Amino acid sequence: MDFQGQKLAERIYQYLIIICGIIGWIIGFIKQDFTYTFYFVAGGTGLACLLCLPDWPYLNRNPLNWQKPEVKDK
Amino acid sequence: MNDLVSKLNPFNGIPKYQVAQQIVNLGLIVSTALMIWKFLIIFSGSESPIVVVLSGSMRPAFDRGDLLYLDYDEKSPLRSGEIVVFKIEGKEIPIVHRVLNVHENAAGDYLILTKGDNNTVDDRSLYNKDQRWLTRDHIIGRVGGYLPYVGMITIVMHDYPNLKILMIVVLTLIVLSTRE
Amino acid sequence: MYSVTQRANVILCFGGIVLAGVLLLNILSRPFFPNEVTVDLKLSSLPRFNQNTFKGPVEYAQLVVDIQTDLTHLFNWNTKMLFLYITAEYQTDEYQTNEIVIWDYILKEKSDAVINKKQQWEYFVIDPAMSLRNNTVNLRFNYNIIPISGLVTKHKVGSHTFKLPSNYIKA
Repeated sequence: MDFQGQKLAERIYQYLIIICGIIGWIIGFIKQDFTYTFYFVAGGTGLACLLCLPDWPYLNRNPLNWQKPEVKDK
Repeated sequence: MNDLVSKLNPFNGIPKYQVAQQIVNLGLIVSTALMIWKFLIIFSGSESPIVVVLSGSMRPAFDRGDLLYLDYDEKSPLRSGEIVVFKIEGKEIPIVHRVLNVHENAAGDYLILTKGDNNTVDDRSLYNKDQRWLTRDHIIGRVGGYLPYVGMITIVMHDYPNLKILMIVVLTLIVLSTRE
Repeated sequence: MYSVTQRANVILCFGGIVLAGVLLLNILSRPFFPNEVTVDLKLSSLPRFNQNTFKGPVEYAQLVVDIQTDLTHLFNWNTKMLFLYITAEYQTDEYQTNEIVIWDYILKEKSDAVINKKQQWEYFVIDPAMSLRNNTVNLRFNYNIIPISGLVTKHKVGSHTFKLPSNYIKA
């Protein structure tokens, strides 16, 4: 995963889990049942894992340009 | 052979001052944890402010692995219905049960009878032979707050003590040999 | 963030932190819930009142009570269960404060929270000071709120005072 991809992944999981937490809390508050909140946060975490853990191609769009290895003269 | 050892050694390649620095870091972490623990003891007034529930005798309120925060104010009176943690002479394990009956005299001496919510009878059979009541000295603290499941780790460690030693050794090695 | 294990560690930690934050918000929202409870409590009968020996002489009394109350609004999303109990409180010369639990009940569901129970008793009042005869007893209704997480609180409402007879009731 390249650096841009890492930044993207970090944004994704942070926003995703926080938003799921907020929505889950509001829904749980309205329904007066904490299980909704818990499942929202757990689901958000799980989704974030799915989106960010494996090395997806969309996270690899800016590969680093490694220099070619030098060939030493014998 | 020397080559192999130097490849396997996690401390290989780290300059000595960095190892020393990691050891100091470890010491800092341990002493900070100790400070927080001691502060909690003073703040709560109890000699053991955080306990893990070990038995199911208080179901469905508390179950094995739940974490309890205890407070213990010498001045506030002990009343029935409060959930307390007490220790009986000769028995090591503290018990978390509810106060059933209380008799308090003007001098502040107490006769206390406890019972677990999930038990059918009161705790007299748990007390020592010929002991009919608990007194204030037996009480370690009164349950103030509660967190579910968090203490499960200590129960696992308790049931498998080798696991505890293994985890401490592994963690120490990891902290000491991280190259940051 | 360059290895899978590192990413997994960070993401799971973050999920845990958000969960803890949500729980904290939960705990903080508790004061906004109404807490008043009214209770109708009275002594129904006194079938047994005598003395006995239990590692020493004691007096015992069986108090049978009627209890009526509505606890539905105590159930909010941070309520795990309510522990209800009725205490008989009285004073003697030897012990200024005596509190005896004569009945307890575990309430886990909001649907069971309307209580209309008659002729309830569970534990005897046992007095080691032998001072129950002619004594005034105050029955009180108590409930203990056990949250899903947070502070465990205790509440006392209602009152019914009566006097115990000056003589034992021989069965």
